[in-house]
Amino acid sequence: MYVVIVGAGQVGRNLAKSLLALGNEVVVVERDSQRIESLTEEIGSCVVKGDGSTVALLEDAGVSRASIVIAATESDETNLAVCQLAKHIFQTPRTMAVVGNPAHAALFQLLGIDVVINRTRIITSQIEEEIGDSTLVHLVSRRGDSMDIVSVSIPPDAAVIGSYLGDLDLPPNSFISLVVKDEGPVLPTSDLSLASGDQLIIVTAPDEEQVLYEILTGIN
Amino acid sequence: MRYLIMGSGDIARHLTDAINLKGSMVIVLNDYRDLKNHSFHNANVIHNVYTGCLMEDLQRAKIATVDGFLACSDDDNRNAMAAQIATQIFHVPLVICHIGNGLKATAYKEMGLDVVSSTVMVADNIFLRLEKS
Repeated sequence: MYVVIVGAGQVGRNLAKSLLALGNEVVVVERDSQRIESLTEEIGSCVVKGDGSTVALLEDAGVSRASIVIAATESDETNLAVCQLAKHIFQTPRTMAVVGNPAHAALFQLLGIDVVINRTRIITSQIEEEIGDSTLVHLVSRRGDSMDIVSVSIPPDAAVIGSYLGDLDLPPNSFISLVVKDEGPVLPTSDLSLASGDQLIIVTAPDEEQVLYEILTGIN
Repeated sequence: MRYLIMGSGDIARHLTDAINLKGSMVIVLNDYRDLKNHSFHNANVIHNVYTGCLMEDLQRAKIATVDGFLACSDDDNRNAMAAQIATQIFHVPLVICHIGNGLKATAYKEMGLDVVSSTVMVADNIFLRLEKS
């Protein structure tokens, strides 16, 4: 597979190395000479110098034959432009953009970027997960910010302990997909009762997360 | 009428003065660095400083309340993204986007943005004069 990556920061360079190791053909586009020099030492001469958000440079990088274009610069504006130009001018089948500011993620999705990687959200989720086991943790965001997969652990004093899943009054777009008990994962059924320490994997909408969290943990 | 102008170069300054002279309110969004270098003298001008998150900056500059949004900073990508936020998210009635790079300007025009490209306009103008001479 031929992949063009725009931006040789930490994300771009590590991604390039991983994709090359898997046998893909990769070209990285980067403006900064020092980054180019150090990346060339590591992965060879598959680095093109210049502004990857221009049509001419994308053409030089061979975007017209790329299966995927990945925009991984530190600028959301640049990443959007790269993907839009790749899609519109070169008909790239799949575009992926890294988004730094979560507020921009929905816009990218709306404008047709195929995969939006919300960098801040990923880091935040990992920190949330490390903080404690009764916190709502974001596992995956899909379709921009319109759907999340989250994990909620039931604290020892939660009112829902002993309740059956079928009796829970969950928000309309929230669905329990898996319950992880001490003995292992269990598929959710309406007669499954909740216990302290159960971990629930839930598909939900961002605007329902707070209510969902309150229902399951009793914490406002 | 209320207009939001993003940018602080010559185009933004001339537009601010011209719109302001017609009695309309102008909200300006630009870099703090630019703000210190250029002063907009009109009383009917409200300044907002670009902080790095375009969506939040535009909201802070009350983009939802304006009749027109003019994206004319010196960064083509920022202009294009801001214009699309104005169009797609806030449904601003009039959105005009400046894109210097000719090929990029054409691409965004094809994508439906109302684009003005100073590079193309100047080149066309010079070409016309050449033809006339």
